[in-house]
Amino acid sequence: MLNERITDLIQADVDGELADHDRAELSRELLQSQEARKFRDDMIRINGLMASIPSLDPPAGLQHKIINAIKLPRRGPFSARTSGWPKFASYGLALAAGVVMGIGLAQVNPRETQDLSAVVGTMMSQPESQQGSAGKTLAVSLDYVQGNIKRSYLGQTVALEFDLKSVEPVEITVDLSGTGMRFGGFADQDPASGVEKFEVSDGKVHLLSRGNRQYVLFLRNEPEGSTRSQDIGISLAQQGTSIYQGQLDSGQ
Amino acid sequence: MDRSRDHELILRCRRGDRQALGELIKEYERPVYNAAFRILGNPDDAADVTQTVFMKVFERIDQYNPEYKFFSWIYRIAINESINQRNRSKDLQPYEDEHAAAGSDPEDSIDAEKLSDIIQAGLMELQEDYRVVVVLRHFSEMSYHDISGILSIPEKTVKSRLYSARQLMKAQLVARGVM
Repeated sequence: MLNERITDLIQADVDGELADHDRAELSRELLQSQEARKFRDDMIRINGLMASIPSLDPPAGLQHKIINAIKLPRRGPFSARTSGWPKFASYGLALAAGVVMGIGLAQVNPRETQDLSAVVGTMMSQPESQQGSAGKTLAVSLDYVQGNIKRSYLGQTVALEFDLKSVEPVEITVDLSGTGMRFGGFADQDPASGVEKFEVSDGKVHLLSRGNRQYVLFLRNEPEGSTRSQDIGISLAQQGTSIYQGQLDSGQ
Repeated sequence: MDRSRDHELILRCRRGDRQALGELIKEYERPVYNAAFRILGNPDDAADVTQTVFMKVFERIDQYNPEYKFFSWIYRIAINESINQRNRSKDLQPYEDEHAAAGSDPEDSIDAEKLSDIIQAGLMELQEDYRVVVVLRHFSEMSYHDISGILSIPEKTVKSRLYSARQLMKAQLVARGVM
């Protein structure tokens, strides 16, 4: 009686899925065991019989019937958004639980990483009543990117809430030049499937995001005396082509 | 099944491009129909299921997540619809295998049509979860990994079901004089 290990190896072999490192073991077994050789021959025979069955032609006209029965949307690729963006409280909880934190830390400037830790500590100590005051919003409604970017306050920290849905990767640049603010931290609602790229350089935060993504970018004030006359620039691009540009009031 | 090509066609479908719709249907009509037929054993039911599958795919095209393979998604729908269709059928007649008793001598030559009927009859004798893995492996030429993803079962389970299904198929083919 062949053991399960040997039947697995033989089956993987006839299915073209045998790992290289298992090949020697199977060869040894086939040399030693007539039963193994018989089993392998049977598997090959069954596979051969199955493979000899020709593919069937679908009924004539089925394709047209299907095409005519389908109504395609006349709008952009996304249906109306029905779910709301979680309130800041949920982010606070997530942060407190240590679940949500700093995606792509390895890609963040080391100097900024230190700042990030400090900002998270501050946020966790914020009283709930100070969270989530109203901010300005950019609504994005393109064929392939939809959603909004909202500016809010979390105590003294400015938070940019991103709630975007995109089919293709979208490159997001947040330009903080002249806003009197700098990158302070980042929280992703779903770190396991979050943004694909995250970088901070030259007063700009660059993200690469795809799918239905919700995350928060935290900004903190530069020391007194720095220039703070500009709004926050938000630009979106796909494959290097600019598809959207907007500005959020920096609230200074 | 070119993944990037599929993705491009889906994007165009989302924009309402009917030519892209036609191309996607042309690409997948045959494999979906064949998988449904091998599971159901009935050409009319397979055609109905094929139509339903595409209707559902395009109803939910906005929900399609491009991080996953389109063919996995459409096959998953096809398998589920085939099983639903099978369950809906009130009169589950055994597959009509007019050649089942033919050819008791394995050396007899068996023409392709007869062999196809015998194998289909053998498939219909299998329990559904065995039949589905055999169809995906042999008729849709899916890897263990793809089957595992489509059926949401571990690869180990795919292998074990394939093993059991093949042993049963072998017994039937021997009984029908094909092996």
